[in-house]
Amino acid sequence: MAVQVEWDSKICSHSGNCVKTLPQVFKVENKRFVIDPSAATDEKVIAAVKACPSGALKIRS
Amino acid sequence: MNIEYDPFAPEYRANPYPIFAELRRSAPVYWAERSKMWVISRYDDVMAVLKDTTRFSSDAMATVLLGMTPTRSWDGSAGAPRPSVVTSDPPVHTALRNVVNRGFTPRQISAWKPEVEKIINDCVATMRARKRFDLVADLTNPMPVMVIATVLGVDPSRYADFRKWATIITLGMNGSKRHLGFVGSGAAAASAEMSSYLAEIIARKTSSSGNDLMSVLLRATEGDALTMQEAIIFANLLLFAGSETTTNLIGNAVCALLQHPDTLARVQTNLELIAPTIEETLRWDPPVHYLFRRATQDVTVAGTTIPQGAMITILLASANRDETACGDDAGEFDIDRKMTNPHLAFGFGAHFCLGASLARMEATAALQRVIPLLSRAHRTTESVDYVDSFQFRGPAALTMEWN
Repeated sequence: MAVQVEWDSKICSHSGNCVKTLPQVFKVENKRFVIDPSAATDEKVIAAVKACPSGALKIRS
Repeated sequence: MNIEYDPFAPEYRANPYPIFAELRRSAPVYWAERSKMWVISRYDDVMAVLKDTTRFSSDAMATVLLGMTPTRSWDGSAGAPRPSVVTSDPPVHTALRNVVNRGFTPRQISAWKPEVEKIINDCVATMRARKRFDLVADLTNPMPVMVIATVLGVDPSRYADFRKWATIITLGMNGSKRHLGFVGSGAAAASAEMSSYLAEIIARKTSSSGNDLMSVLLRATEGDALTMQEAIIFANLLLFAGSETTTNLIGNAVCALLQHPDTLARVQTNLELIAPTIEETLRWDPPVHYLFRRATQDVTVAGTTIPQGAMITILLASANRDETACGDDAGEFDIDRKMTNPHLAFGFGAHFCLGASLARMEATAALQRVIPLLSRAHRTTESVDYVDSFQFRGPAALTMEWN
């Protein structure tokens, strides 16, 4: 199973890093932010989560 | 190795990057005797400090910019200063940030775009009416201040006052008036005048259903909206954090393009390249060169122990050019660059720039108008004078004449 990603809307600064680097995983659908970690390798998802500048994205342990 | 690092030396102001490289190579944790601060210059170390809000407190921002200490406010009065989102640490910071974050959602920022474009068009119209113009004084400087005035709901009849306050407050905080301090420079008085006007705006609001930022901040959502006092502190902060920074981002982008005519030609034929131009400008020559932190305990960074209570400067602009994180060609301006690590121009972690999306939107809108102009006007001088500041970097003027 792919890694699970948590998103905290309260601290998200909407820098768009995740949407730009992994659009297949992080996307806006019907005005809602959707995360599909299975659409890329765990390694890529983890790298995108680590690069989240506000810290709003976290890997669920 | 003896490195002379003086952030106010004229040769440093003209080009600080060689000394940053020297610091990264020979003294990654450097004691700057004149400013009595530790200076951290490598990407990994800067990143580690930004992420660690426990051992590195942001209260240092208030000490350096406003002369405040944990027990003395900027006007010299005793007692803990009221916390702002820039100068506080979690958990106080987290609560403030959660509220102000609501004012800067993508929906909110796109709602302001038409206002931003109108302000830019007005500035450009003024420039067109003259033979000679200054891109800084006529556009990049007034525009972000006007944007803030607009989003705060300032009455147009008070725009001139608002711009005056903004200028005085900025000069009092950016270091240009460092010999006078925040009070002596008049910044404290200007801030007090502006605060009482902002209190009037808030008091006049019969409903907080508007689209302006004050309404968003005051709107009672889940019962934890800002108090009037907090909203005023935030508005003051917004002026400092959101005006000269944006001015310098646009100015530095223009300077970078003028220094790289081949890139300029590409962007002129394809305005879609403005987005990567802005990102590369943020990395290569960012508008905020450094931030301040205070060590809350003895802490060892790159083999050097920084004692508890010491003040620390973190060099974002140096981190962005660190070859180990940004590639061997980190010193080159390259809009096609593929970054594996994020640039740190907006910081990272809990204090990541709240206005990053707003800054990008304003810079994009401005450059869409300015870049086409660059083929119809020319600089009146080749040299660039940089603003005299503690931490900001950008051209003080960019005088041009129509061809």
